[in-house]
Amino acid sequence: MKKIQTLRVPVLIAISGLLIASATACTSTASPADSGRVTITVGNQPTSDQTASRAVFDQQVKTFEAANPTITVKATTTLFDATTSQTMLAGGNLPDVLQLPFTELQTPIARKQLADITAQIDQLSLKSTLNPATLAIAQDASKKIYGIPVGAYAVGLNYNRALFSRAGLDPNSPPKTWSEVQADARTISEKTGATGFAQMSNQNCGGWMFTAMTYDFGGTLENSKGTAATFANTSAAADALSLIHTMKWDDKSMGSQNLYDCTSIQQDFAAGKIGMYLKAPDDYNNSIVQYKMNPKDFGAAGMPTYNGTRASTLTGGSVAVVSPKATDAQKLAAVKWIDYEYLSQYTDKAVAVSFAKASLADSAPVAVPGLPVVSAAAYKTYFGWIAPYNNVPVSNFDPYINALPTVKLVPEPANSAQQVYASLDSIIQNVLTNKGADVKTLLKTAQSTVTSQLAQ
Amino acid sequence: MMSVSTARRHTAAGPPPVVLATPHKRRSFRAWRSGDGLSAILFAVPALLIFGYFSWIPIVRGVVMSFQQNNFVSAATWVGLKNFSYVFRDPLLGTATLNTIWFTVLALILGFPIPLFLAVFMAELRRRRAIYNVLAYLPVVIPPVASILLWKTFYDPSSGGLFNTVLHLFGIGPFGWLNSPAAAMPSIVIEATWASAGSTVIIYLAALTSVRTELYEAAELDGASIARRIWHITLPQIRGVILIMILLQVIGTMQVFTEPFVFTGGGPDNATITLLLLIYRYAFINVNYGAATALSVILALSLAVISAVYQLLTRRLSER
Repeated sequence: MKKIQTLRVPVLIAISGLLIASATACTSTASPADSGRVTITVGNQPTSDQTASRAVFDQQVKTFEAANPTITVKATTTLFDATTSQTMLAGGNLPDVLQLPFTELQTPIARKQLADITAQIDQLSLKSTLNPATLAIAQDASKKIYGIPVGAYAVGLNYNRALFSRAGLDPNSPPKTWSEVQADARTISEKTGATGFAQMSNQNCGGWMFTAMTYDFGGTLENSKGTAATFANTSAAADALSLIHTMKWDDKSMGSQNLYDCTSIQQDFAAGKIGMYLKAPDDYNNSIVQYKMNPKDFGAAGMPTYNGTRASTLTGGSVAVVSPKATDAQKLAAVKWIDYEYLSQYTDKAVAVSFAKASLADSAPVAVPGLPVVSAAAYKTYFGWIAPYNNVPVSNFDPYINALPTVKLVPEPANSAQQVYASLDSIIQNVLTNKGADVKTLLKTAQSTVTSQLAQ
Repeated sequence: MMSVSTARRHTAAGPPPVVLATPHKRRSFRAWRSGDGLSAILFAVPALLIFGYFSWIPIVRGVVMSFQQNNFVSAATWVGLKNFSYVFRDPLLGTATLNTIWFTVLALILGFPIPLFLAVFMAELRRRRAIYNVLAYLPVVIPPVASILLWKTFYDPSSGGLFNTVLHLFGIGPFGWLNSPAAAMPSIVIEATWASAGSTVIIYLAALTSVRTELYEAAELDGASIARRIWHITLPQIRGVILIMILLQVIGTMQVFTEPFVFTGGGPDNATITLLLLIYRYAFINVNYGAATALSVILALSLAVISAVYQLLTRRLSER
């Protein structure tokens, strides 16, 4: 007993010492890098369950390191997540290279949470190979570049080809105007019992897609400087809301679910419960892989036109960005990596084919047609290279691709886009749940609230 | 044979007199160290370090951040009360506060009597009590998000939804449930009560074991009905536990987040946005950590005031 007592104090001291050591270890700094060598961490490595894609990615890392002997690449499976990336940034654990959705880009640019990589892009002469329309999304007002678009889209109309057939509509001739959308939605609801047209209204997805609709109806969300909301200044947003209200309450073609977000709308669409909804064609990936929709049933059309005017829509996609804590040498290495990893498939047939084969082996969609981040010619050549391996029914996307050159692409609101979307979410919810909704008053009230928030 | 009145007299007689301890003599440092003093402190050090590092430092940091603007890249800047003024000028603050109070009131109306009733009912059972214990506690072990997603399918607003299908058999509905601004919050409270009642039932059951059986026997012999026995014996005997459980429930429900976040995201038309959901929006949608921490501080202070007032008001009741 005495022995136990005598042992107790040193053991406790040791435990306490370990705890103190572990606590202080969290604040220790990394040793400086060897001179001349630079190490970067890169996110978006495929997870180990994606065996073939992971093997290709790891091989890409080795090939890149061999071609750039002074650069060491540490790959991680870290993905962007709005709830954790801020704390990872604060803790210095955010990878040097990460992909962000377009929707998340303007806020970190405004908050100076992304590295300015203009000098590095100029140094590597990359600007000429990129599509200027999509690159504009990664730039601030002074044209500084904060990311490289690696995947892009323009919002269009996704539709279920099987439901179109069941309703007696031609799946190869989706609606081109909003009047046709309204008529087809009514037909689908009457003939099949499914929701003809669904509108998201939750988790900011409603505001996001309604922004595309407002652009299409000829409106804007904010003024050019992003200092005031403008959606109630013209009749565009009110007209769009009135159309939704008519489809919901008069046509009864919008079903009973009023709280769709980006995920739940995909689930119901893949399950054959929804005829049409606004979104980008890359929803194909989740609809097929995760929600087991028949690939033949997925159809994508361009943004419908309103009152005979040229269609306008919101652009989106993903951008590879660099950590603001990266040194100049790390920034240059990061931009080299982004160019190699994300853009070389459009210029190098061997890389394109190896990526396509890996996706095919993982039963993942190989290449969904969309808005190119490179020139149209390079994009067409790329699809030619991978055609023998592409498991995506590319012709289902013809209505979308054919409409694309005629559609005006408009980027997201410049300032606090997510706050604007949240305000629009509740307006759409009101229209979908309140038959007597006064759309003009709703828009005016929301505009005044958003403007006061933007001013802060 | 003992009547209720004799039992009360017995209780009123109080515990046996306490023998006062002799005054401590001042111990030398050596005696203190060779005794249990040093090892007691060393035992406490790990807990203090962990508690301080993971609990108190974040709390203090949160309070500091509520007076700062911080992008986690450059140094934080002091902005005084700007974050608090932003929060107070947000039109959603009033909606979120009223919704949170509405949730708390509904949760109290539903969530307070049901577990108490279940516990008293189960305490009366002579057989198969273990089965009822398991059944009552089962919802608690289901991960919250899983059970909410399950209930979300029950609340499907179409005529094919589970609840609407059942109600249709009686010629009722279909109802919008979560899709209706008026029904969304009560729908959330029903699920929340189902999910958390089990824990409260177990605590009440434990409290009920401390009620002396001779009180019931005496009352029974005096011809008291079950309702009178519960009213005059059970509830007064576990009064202290009930008061604490109400306080804990109010504090817990004022911080409701998971249910409205997963069920409705705060909709429809902000009918279920709560204070914690607003804090989440500030932090992770608007990336405004200053406003998020400012509202957190306001909520924490409000709960502290509510708790203090409640304690003052109920002190006499619980000591009775």
